[in-house]
Amino acid sequence: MWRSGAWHWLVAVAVLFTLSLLLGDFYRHLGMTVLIMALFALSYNLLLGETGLVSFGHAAFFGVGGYTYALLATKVGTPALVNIVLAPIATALIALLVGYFCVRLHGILFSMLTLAFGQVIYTVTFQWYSFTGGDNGIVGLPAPPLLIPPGNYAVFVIFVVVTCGIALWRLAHSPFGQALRIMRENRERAEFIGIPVRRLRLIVFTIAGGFAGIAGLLFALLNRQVFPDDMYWAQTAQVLVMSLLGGIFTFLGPVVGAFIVTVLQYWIATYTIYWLLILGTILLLCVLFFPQGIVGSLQERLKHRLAPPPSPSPLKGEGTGGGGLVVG
Amino acid sequence: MDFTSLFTWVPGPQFLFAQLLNGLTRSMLLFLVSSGLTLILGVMGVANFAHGSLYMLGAYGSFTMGTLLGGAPSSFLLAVAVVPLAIALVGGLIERLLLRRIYEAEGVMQILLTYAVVLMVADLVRLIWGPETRGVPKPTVLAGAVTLLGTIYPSYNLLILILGPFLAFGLWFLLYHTAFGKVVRATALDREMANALGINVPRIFTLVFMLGAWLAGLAGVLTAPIGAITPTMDLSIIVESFVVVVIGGLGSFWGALLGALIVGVIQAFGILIVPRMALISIFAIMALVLILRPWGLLGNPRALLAR
Repeated sequence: MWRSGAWHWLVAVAVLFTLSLLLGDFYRHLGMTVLIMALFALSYNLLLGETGLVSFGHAAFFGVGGYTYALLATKVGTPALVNIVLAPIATALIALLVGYFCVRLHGILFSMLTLAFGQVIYTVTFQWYSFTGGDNGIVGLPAPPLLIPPGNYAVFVIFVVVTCGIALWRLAHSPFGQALRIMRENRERAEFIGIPVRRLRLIVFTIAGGFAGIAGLLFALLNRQVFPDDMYWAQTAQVLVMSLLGGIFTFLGPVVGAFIVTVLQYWIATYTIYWLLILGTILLLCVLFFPQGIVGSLQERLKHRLAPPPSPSPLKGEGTGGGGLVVG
Repeated sequence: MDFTSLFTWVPGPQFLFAQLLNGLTRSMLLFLVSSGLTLILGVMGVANFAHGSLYMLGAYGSFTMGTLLGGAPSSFLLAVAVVPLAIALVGGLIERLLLRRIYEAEGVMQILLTYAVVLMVADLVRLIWGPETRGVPKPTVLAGAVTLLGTIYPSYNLLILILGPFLAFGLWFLLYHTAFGKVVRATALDREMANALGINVPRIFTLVFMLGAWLAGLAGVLTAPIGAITPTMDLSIIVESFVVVVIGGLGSFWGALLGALIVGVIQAFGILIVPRMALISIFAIMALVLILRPWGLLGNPRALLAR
């Protein structure tokens, strides 16, 4: 098991690295953004697809990851490497705190409470000028010397995103991931068979928050700046659309969605500022006509073509794709 | 300049009284929005995230009404009469064209659908009315102020304060003392049974959604002369209304009233303690309610389990 995981990891890193060598500055920056958003979307889908929890405040953790780094670097002055390690940990702790309240609630209540908490974190960041710089953000972040050349940073991003992606993949395919899906399908039955629903939800909320923090950290280091907009609800909308468009009941769906949405945003930004309208329209169309998402529909079609009776667990089907597809 | 006076300033009773009235005015507007939200939630089981968007559309509709009529004295009255009805129609369209298609789908999809509407309306409003802050003048008759127990208070805010209880009473009467209300409550209690007894459930859903939209639109029109009309007002109201609904109890009509009173007043005083972060004070209250009574002050514990 470990050996196959390591093999996928190596292939993915090597392919992405080769691709990044071929790209110019603009496309490398775009590629890095896609990878970071893919990790962010994967962390989000751990809640949405795996556990069936719709969080509207996930971007707050993305922002907290970046801001923790930025604040430690500019206000405390701890070494950059220490900050890189501390940022995801701090984010996970905040996710634990927020999750403590949120996971008590189900369905719509959970969603609304995450929205509310996300708005509080955003508001505090936005208004606390003396500490967070308010809407001016924090710019000109220091980075470890080793990570300053864009090529080096690209390698770092590839390394971190692929490692996190594989960790998330293994998590989704572990007994823990299985328990999450049971909770998603039927919460009461999960409780009856002895799954500690609230505790598992808190754990998955914390993990998802931590990985979102890593994505936020990578994003902050990529642009060397953080802004309150990173944690605005529109950012959550974006990651939600990525997951749904790609397919929330597949592991790689969010990665595909992240690629499409990010490239679309880069391309469309030159034509219009009404990005939310486009996101909303995609979301609406997905919900009404395409709830399976791209990867989900493809899998369905493949399954029909291959004819043999469907495997009892939908996980087996995508296992054949393997981690090598992380390339996305 | 005497700086020490800044630090020794203690709000006098008149100021506190005015602040209380401000809080209650806000409570009334909050109640209009959250009563619709809780009604839709209770009857249809749909958390309408777009409720704040309908409120925002109401405020912008009132602005457009004002510019169309060139600030004629009667324009505000006309806005109160016409705009909420238009918003109700928008709500009816949302229910008919979008929500109806996915009542059978998972709850997740319903949440995402209304969220998509929020995103689209947020940008449509910027597209139509622009990003700048808009305002509506107060109706001339109510532009002045009255003296109330020695405190000078704007008459317009006082009107809302008086209007609120009347609307609450009207809504209560509609829900608990008319045939329509009985049918609505029956549908909320057991959708399938209501259907079996010959109640046209889809029609009730449309009407309830339109009623909620009408209330949100009315709140938007009423708030237009005293608040800034901005493209971000949808989110602040939906977050606050949600807090109201959680504190009061999901789907509980009286809970919405109690929650609105609590949130409005606490915010008015919280702003004195932590300026610009009044949201945090109401969140503290909500967290407390969630820990001690997750089903809300006047809610039903069983309703929470059912969702």
